[in-house]
Amino acid sequence: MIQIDDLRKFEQVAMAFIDEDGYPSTIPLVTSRLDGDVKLKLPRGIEGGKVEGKKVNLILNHITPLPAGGYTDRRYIVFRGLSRVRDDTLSVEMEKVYTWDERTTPFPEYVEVSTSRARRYLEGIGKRLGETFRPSIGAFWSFFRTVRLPFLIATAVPVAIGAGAAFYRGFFDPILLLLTLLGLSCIHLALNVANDYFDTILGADTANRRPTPFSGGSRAIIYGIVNMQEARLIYTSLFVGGVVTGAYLAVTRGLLEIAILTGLGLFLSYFYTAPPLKLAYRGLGEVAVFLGFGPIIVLGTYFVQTQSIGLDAVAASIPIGLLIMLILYVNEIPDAPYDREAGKMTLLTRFTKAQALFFLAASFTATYLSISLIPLLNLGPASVMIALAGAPLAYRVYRGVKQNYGDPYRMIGVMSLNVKTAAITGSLLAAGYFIGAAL
Amino acid sequence: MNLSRLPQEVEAVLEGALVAILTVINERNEPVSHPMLPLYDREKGVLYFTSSILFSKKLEHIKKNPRVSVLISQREYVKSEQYHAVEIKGDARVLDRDLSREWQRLLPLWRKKEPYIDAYVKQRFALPLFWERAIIEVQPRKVRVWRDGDLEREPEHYSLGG
Repeated sequence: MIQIDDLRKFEQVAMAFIDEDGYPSTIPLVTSRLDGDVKLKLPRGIEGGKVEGKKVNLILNHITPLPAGGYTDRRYIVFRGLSRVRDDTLSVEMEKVYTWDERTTPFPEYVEVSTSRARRYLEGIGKRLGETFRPSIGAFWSFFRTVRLPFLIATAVPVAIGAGAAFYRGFFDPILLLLTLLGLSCIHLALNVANDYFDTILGADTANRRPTPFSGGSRAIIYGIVNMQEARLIYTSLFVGGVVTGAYLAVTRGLLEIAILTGLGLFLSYFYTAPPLKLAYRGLGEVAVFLGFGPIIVLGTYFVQTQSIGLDAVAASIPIGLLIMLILYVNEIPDAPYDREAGKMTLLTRFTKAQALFFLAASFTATYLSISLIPLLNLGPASVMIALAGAPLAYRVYRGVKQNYGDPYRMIGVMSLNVKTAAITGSLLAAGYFIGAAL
Repeated sequence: MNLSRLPQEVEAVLEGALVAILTVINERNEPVSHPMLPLYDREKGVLYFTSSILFSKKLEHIKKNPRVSVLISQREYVKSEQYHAVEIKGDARVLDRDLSREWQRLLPLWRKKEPYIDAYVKQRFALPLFWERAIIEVQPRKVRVWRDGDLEREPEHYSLGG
């Protein structure tokens, strides 16, 4: 039953059974090698008759202690069955095996697949004590997780670019800029929560066993940080916040243009995941994100400042639209197997690895090409070319995706670098406009 | 031999152990074993484990049948000068009224075995359900010791009052 190789992987070998006193007993076993097999023997002080024919657990366990304290590399196998003792040798007629090896099932995945058990336990205690229990991480972190606050960078950067392009043309009103940022942030955060809400209903988040800080949704609903009603209330309130701000800007700066842009933004944000359109489920998520975080935000910000829309603003919006789209795109790579399972047919679920990498390379190329074209087509200052400094980062993202494709945990660093690439390139692009205006 | 508390050399092993096998009894009166980090409070003479509610089946088992056993064996898993293989049978109880905070009183013991634990606790928002933890408190009743970890030697037996 136990091979020599097992002993190399598991140093600790033990057995548990129910003792005559009614307590379980867990004892170490003596192991020796015999004719290429492993012989198990009871330790001194345990009579064979005490365990013969009993239901036992045979446990093989391993940890690697760390020199500075603690341990890593955990794995164990538990064989359950009836014990037999013959001529001093112990064997187990195996009925069931349970095992965990953190190399094959990384700890975060082990945690993830156990979520429903934890929720049931909390509900059980809640019933017993007459209270509602939920994971206690404090109000700030609950909000932070639920709305996915750090992703606001994807709104702040295009707003800065729109403001930069307007500034280059001689327009800048900081109050209007703050109001624009506020309204767009509300819509973006609403989009994040609505996305979780509908992904939970449609099964995409529930199916995902290997979420990361960048992929698999916020998990706020799955972990019970907020319930469905609360999530709906949060995204509705945030959408209302966005609409009210948009309405004010529309009335004061230009009714038709801002109404159209806000309406489009709301439409894409809500129907990104919400039925019946479920754009992300039809392979249209990337287009929606490109339009929403590129042209709609940049043109909207630009219009609020200048009360006009020009080709220069359109040109400014394309690179950042592509970069934010690529944040979504790269973050969807680890989700792809689970998205496919849930019928969320994003682009990545339809692509082979080669096609996925080609799309990534082509989009990055288009991003930096579109930046180069801004001064060449006389649609902005030459100083926007400083944004090309982000290109080496993009190359590192491409290389990282290629090397770690399909491994969610190894992709965490790449996904983080990809967000930085968008943020740095976009910020440099915005800075390029401000510098151009100053020169 | 009847004792009022665990022998000192056993306490040293418990304090140095990085892993213990905790066995509980399921509803079919069968043993179920789990490798876990043991935390020993020498002042109280009580052995503790903390269990996330993610892995809460053992908690349900203990609530139905509090009899448990704990094995500490394997020299390299015990960071103490002396080493003995130790089996403890005891009565366990689950403390789960305050899953968010109560286990944190064991952090000083936990920190001694996993010095990096505070960094993880600070990031508890990343794995919120993992940090909702019950305490398993084990009152030792019977102890079996294979001195120096020598399993060919007759073990010593101790009983603890209470």
